[in-house]
Order: sequence, then structure tokens, then C-alpha cells
Amino acid sequence: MAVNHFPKEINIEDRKRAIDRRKVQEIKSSQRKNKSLLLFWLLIGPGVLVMLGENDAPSMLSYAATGSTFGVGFFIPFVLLTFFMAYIVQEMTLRIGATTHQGHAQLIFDRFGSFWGWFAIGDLLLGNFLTLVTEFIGVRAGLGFFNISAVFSVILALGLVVGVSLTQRYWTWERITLGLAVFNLVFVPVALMTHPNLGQTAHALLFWNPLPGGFSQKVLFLMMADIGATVTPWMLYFHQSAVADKGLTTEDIPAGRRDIAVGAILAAIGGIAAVIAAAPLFARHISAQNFAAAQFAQALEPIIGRWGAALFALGIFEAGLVAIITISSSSGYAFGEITAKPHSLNRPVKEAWPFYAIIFSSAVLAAVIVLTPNAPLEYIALIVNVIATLAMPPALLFVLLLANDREIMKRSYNSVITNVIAIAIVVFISLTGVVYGVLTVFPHLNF
Amino acid sequence: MKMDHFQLNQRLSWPADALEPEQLSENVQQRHYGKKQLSPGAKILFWALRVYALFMLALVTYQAWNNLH
Repeated sequence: MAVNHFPKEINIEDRKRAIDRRKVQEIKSSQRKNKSLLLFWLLIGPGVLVMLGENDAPSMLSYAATGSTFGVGFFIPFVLLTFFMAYIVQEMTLRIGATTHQGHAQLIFDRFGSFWGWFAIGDLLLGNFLTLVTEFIGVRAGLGFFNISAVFSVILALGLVVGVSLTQRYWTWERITLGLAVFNLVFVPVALMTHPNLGQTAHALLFWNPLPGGFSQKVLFLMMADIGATVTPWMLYFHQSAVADKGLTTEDIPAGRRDIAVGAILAAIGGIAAVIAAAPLFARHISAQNFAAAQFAQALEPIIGRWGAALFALGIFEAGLVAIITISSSSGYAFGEITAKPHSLNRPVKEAWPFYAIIFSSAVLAAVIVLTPNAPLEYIALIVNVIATLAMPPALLFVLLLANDREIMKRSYNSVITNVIAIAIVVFISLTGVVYGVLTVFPHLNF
Repeated sequence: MKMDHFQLNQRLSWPADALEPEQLSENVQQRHYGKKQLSPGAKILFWALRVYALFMLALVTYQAWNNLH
């Protein structure tokens, strides 16, 4: 059989990855006019997916809550700042993945031992599970706007997740998920339908207006939720594993950076559009702080009409769906890495069944919780992004140490500037949490 | 269109050439860099951030619970 022509170690996963890499090499060595464009198309993926994947249902609702509670002045530039932070962090995971070809969980266990490794995995799995629950809440609430039953919505989402994963081909999985993720930009037409004051938006972007009412616990909660909407632990694990699964190498780091930048820009546009879309509720003094997705869409309907509200609800559904695909994959990758079982979307199910089992079972378990009567869904939705923000400083420390580890990073270790910015990000996120903690214990303090 | 093993082989005679040796999945799985010696400063930082995360998690859970009730 022709299969015997291959050395023993070349398995189906490597063969599929080799086909993708060969295409990249062919384009690189060709003289085609559209070479740059073709390379961009071939190498784009993990960065865009991680950024748009994090524009998930709770994130879009956090942005909408921000816009409806405080308008656009302070938070539009703040959202941009959080995506800049996300770029810096993901750029480090790109370099680690492209240099070592290993996943984040595997490297943490390898370099820091199982004691710290289990802490990191505990953070990841808890955060992922809670986030998956909120994604299904988004799916259910988004389709609920169209009077689609909760059970049908959840089964539809599960079916799509299983269907995409069962392609058993990283490239196909990536392209389908990218196609779904780009739908996140549906919030842009919704924002335009509110007829935003472009001058006010531009002024906010350029001059970063002060917060109406000053700092308070509520402001900090939304700030942490917005940080948690852009920089979270699952992104580190997913991105590094996806970079390795796609087969990116150190040669592809510049293309990987473009991938992350495009993802950050698209996600920032989506996030800012959600802030702008919900801002009319702030202007009309409609309290929407504890709104769920369908309630946001319903509240916006008198302002942007049935079509606009329907697009908003569809956007929440899409945000949840894409995040379920990417977040459950990050759990599957991490599990496969620490148990040394095959963990690639290029593997057939029969060879990597534990990997696929984790992807499917984590999604199914979250779906069951969402459908359980009297489950504390509102409670989970409220704290999930804040928990992600709190888990981020320890996770960032691992990334920083790995990105500075010359033994594994060879020539791709962190520059001084990257270290300074990354340390500033850790300090900023930690301090936000500390101030939030102080305000929780001493609620009458004012800054 | 899904390719079977034979088509894959036809298309790519030497897949190992398209991949770096370190990328081959078996090599990735078997490669261990070994445990890194953490400096005392790094250990303190690890513990400090761990305590911070657990304390804040308890605080946020308490606060969110209070808000809901």
C-alpha cells in the first residue's frame, strides 16, 4: 500500500498538516502577483479566531451593558486599550507556539511542574466551563428573540459544534469557524441603525472622555468585565495550540502577527459597535444593567426597528456559537497535552477520541446546565468575565516566563519593550482587581 | 472533498519535507524540556498571584451572590 512509503512516524495528522505547509511553501517560492494575498489567506486563522472567539456572548453583553450604562465617552477608548493588551499577550503565545510547536498546557507542566500546572489547568477548566454555560445562555437568548425554544436552540448549537469538529481536518474546521466568526461584524449595521453621533464618537476616541459620575464599584465591575471580554486564560491555551496544530513555524511569526492584528481590529470594531448600539438606552435613561441578550434586543427594537433588533439577537447567537467551538477546543487541546494523548483537529476521531470527547462533553454539560430549571444562570453570566480577569495575572506570569525562556524560545524570546508592556498589563489587571476588592470590602470609599 | 490516504500520498511524496522535524507529532509529544529552576522572586510572585486570584474569586462570588439576593 502507498501508505508504507511513509516513514513510520508520519501519521495522518502530520500528513494533513504537511499538505497545508506544502501549500504555504509553494506560494512562498512562486512568483505569483497575488503572492502576499494568498499567503495571508493561508496563514490567517488562529489570531482572528482567538480575537473574534473572545467577542463572545457575555463579552458582547458586557459591551452593550457598558454602552447602555455609561454611553460611549469613556469606554470606546477603553475597549481599544483592552484589545491592544490582548494583541501583546497573544503575540507572545504565537511566538511560543511557533517556536516550540507545543501547546500551552504541555509547556507549563514541562517547565513549571505539575503543582503549578494543575493550578493553571484548574483556572482554565473552571473558567472555560462557566464561560461555555454563558455561551449557551447567549445562544438560547439570541434565538429566543425569534421565539425559538431553548431546547431547540441548544441542540442546534451543539449540532453545529459537533459537525464542525467532526470534519477531522484543522484547515476545514478553521475556515468554517472563521466564516462564522466574521458574522460578529453584524453589530456594525446595528450600531449604524441607531444613528450614532459620529462627532461624539470621534471625540471619545481621540480625547478619552472622563467617566460620567467618577469611579465606583459599578464602573470597576464593568471595566473588569470588559477586560475579561478581551484578555482571558482560554485564549492563551487555544491560540498556542491552534498555532501548533496549524503548523506555523518561526518563519510565519510576522504573518501570525498580522493575523492577530486583523483579529484585534475586527473584534474591536465589533465590540465598539455593541457599545454604540446600546448607547441610546443610556441616552434615554433606560436601565439595562442586568439585561440578558433578548432583553437588549427587545429594548432596542423601538429605536432600531425589528430588523435591527433581530440582527442584534443573531449577533449574540453567533458570538455564543463561535465561542463554544473555540473554548471547547481549548479544553480538548489542554486535556490532550497534559495526558499525552493525540490532540489535533487533523486526527480521526478513533485515534484522538479523548480529545474529541472533551470537546463534545464540555459543550454538552454546559448545555444541560443551561436547560436545567432554576440553575443560577444570571449569577454565572454576571461573574464569568470578572473571574476571567482575576485568573489572568497568574496565567500571564506563565506566558511571560515562557516567552523569556531562552532554552525553549531560541531567538524568539521577548524583547525588553514587550516585557515592559507585558509587565504593565499584569500590574494594570491586578490593580484593577485589587481596587475592585477594596471597594467590595469598603463600599463607601470613593476615588 | 475529503482525501483518502492514497490521494494524500500521491499529492505529497515526502510529507516530512514539508514539516520541520520538531513539528512531527510524535516528536512534539516526546520532547520534554525539563523543569525550569524558579528563582525565589519568581516563586514569591507565583504564590502572591495565586493567593490574589483565590482571594478575589471568593470576594467576587460573595459580592455577586449578594447582588442576586
